[in-house]
Amino acid sequence: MKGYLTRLGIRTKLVALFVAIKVVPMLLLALLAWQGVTRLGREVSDRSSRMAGSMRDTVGELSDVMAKESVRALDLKSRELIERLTTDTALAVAEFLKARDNDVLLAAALEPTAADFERFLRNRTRALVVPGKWVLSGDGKSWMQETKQTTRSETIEPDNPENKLDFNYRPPDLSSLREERPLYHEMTFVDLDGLERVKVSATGLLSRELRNVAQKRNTYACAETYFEDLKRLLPGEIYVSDVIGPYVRSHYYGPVTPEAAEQAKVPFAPGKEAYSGRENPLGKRFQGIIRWATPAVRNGKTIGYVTLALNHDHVMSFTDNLMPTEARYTPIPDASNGNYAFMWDYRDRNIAHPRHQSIIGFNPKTGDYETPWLEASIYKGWKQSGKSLRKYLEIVPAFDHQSREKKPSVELIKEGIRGLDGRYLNFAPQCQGWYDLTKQGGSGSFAILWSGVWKLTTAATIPYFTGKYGKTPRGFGYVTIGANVDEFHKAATLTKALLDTRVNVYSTQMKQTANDTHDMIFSSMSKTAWSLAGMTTLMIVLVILIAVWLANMLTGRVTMLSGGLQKIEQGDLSFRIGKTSDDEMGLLADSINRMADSVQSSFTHLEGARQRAEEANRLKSVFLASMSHELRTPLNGILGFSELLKLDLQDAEQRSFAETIHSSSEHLLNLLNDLLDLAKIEAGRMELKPVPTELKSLLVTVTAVHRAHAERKGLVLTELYAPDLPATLLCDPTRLVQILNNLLNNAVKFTAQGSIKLSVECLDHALRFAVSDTGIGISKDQQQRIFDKFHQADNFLTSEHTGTGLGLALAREFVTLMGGEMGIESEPGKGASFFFIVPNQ
Amino acid sequence: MSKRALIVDDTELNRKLAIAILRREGWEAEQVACGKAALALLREDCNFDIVLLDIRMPDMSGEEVCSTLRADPRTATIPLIAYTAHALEDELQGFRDIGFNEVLVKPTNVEAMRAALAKVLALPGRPEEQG
Repeated sequence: MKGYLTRLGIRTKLVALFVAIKVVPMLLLALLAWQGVTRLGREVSDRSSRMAGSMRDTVGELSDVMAKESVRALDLKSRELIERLTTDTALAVAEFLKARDNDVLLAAALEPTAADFERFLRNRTRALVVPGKWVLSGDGKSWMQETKQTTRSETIEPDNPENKLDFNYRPPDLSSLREERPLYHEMTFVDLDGLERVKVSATGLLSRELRNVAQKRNTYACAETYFEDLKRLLPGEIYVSDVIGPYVRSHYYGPVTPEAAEQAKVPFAPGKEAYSGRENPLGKRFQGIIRWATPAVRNGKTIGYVTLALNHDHVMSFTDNLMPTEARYTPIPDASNGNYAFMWDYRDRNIAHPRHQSIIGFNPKTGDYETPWLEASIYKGWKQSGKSLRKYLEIVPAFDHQSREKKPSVELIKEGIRGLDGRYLNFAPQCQGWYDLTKQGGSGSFAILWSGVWKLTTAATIPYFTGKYGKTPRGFGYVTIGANVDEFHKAATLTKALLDTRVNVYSTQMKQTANDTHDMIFSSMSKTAWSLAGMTTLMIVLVILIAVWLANMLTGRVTMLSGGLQKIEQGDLSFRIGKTSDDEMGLLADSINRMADSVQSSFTHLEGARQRAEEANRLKSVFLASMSHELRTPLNGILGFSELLKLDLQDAEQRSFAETIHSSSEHLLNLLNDLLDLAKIEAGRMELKPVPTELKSLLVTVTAVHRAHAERKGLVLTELYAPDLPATLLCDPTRLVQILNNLLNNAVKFTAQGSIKLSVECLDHALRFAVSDTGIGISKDQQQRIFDKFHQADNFLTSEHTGTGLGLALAREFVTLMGGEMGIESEPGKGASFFFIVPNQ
Repeated sequence: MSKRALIVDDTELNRKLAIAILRREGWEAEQVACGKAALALLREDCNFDIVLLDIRMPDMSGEEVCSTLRADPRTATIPLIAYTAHALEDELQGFRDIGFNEVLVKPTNVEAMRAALAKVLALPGRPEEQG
């Protein structure tokens, strides 16, 4: 890697450097910026959508809470209002009944004559709402008024602007529909035997005949038994009857229409079915009476009884026209919408209902109560018992486990009998609730699920306690009002729906805004990213271009410089670099040129010196060669003839002279040879001729000569060779012999007594030759100089030792040439050991 | 019959020494003082067992004489010993390369002369032994 880096050119490195210090940070910056923008965008987007969500949730929750609270508040308020309406109605009924007490007491004081009775009755009228004429609608599914009600619907604005806020005008209620009707059907005077003596009939409902009312069959619907009660009345006491009237049947429980008739499998005859308010406005009405009676007393004696038969329509009117809704009143009750009022007597028998088939009535044939609408099991039990209904019901507990789970008797429905007696209406648990509310004469409300709708139902005791009605705290009976709970909080529900719509719109808008924000942020982010990327790319390209340009400029000049240097290096010393600038590069070019100048001049000088040195060397060699030659010629004569003399002279003294001449000239010859060798080495012309040499025989030859010399001096020459000595050594044998000769010669020469040892050791790829002696030894500072040329031991001149002084120097030069080294180990007086190591390849 | 040797050397001393040694060794020895004389003599009479030829001579060098002799068929096989004071190794090898059979370096001694003579006489294909 390092190698690869060092091989890269400066241009590449510069570009890489620029990229590293410029492009990388730029990319990092761009990356950081992008990350920042991305994070910001995400954050803003997340937060805005979270905010939108939480606002939507909050507003939604708020609207829920508001709606819930409003519903609750409105429900409570409505309950309060309806309860009040109920009690007010009950009170009004009681007041109305109480007024009848006064009527009867007043009537009792009248002379029992038809004229007085007529006069009495004439003023006893009360307005009733007349429902008008009704016809079946075109589709035959409902009833409608034949002539449209012309209700004045004008509105009235406040004259005084200060009353403008919430000025709420309401036109007169039902006033146009009211008609005065007689309060009483009839007024009679009954003598002490039960015979009607005077009878004034105001309506014609009851018989105009004067009858014996002691006989039940002579009474209304053959059901009245009041004469028995009259006989027990004390003066001033008042008798008030139950509601008495013939029961009206209906085969319908809902609008009487041809379709419903088909389902009920009866002929469509609305006139023959019970009146049911808006469900059947043409039906037969329940025509009831309540009879008041009191003794007519003259002079402390009861002379007879005055009776007044109240038209029950007046009692029913208190609930018939009541609407527990904003409408407040209705011209015709409608049971199907769930908002209606009933009245029940003190025995929980229905006495006022929009559906007249629900009102308990009598069977005029038997003069007994008509069968009420029984719960299926009671009806079954009754039928199985074989008893009369009255007898059977005596043993049936009232309000026996009333529950919506129970079912009404189907058989009675088929007969069209649906009179409501709360005590046996066990599939309608609210009956028991009403009983509970009124059993102590009180009032109240509860919620029931009826016909699949939650309704508020109220009950309020009618506080009328005259006659038998005073026997229980329940008085005359009670008023109940049923109201759709939904109606109460309709405003809140509407508000809630409105709020929900607004919340939905708002949250959609918020979502849209959040989406828009998100889109905007991301499009902006993407724009930023693109421009960032674009700018970064542009800058990177610019930076790289600048880097390449700079690098080119620099390397161009460097290349020029290096090219110049190369030319100079290759020998064109006269080449000079052209100067292109005055900057550092220019200075460098100047320096190179100056260097070239100086190199050129040095070269010129050197060349001269070299040539002179070569010439001197050549001359030296020539001189040496001719010196050698010239010296050898006389030496030849001296050596040759002195040898011949030595050999041929008989005279010992003369022969010793010749020997002296001979050895002196031999010494001279050795000196000459050594000088020539040294000269050759110094001239670098000495070349070794390595050949495989038999080491053992070489050593034998060398030691033979020196052993002879040593023994002549009384010395011992020992040889110690390593056992693993190689057989052959690649070396120049002549020079190896020369070295060994020198060392052995010196050893013998400088050793007076003792021994000389030649050893050869094997080293790692080398041989170590050593020549040791027991001679005078060599001091440390002598050792420094012993290999110098022409050096000899100090005692050279004073001893018999002779030498050229070149031997050791030559030997060391040869060892060096062989690639080895030479050294000495010695102490004065303890002998010396010369060694040399030559490689053994 | 004793061997014949011819000594060619411009230096009288050298000639005298060589003759002294050779004669002491039982050789017949003749001498000439220059290369031309040697060539002239050898063209007439090449019946020498050995010729000691000095290298550095005034008229012509020993190398020239050697080359001339080797070029002439009559003298081409005469045993030639370079008798020279040139003692440098490379010089000695050079003599052998141009046709000398042996080199005898000055200063010489009896031993060296004997060795050189023995070496040359031991050479194969000498004319005497052939004829």
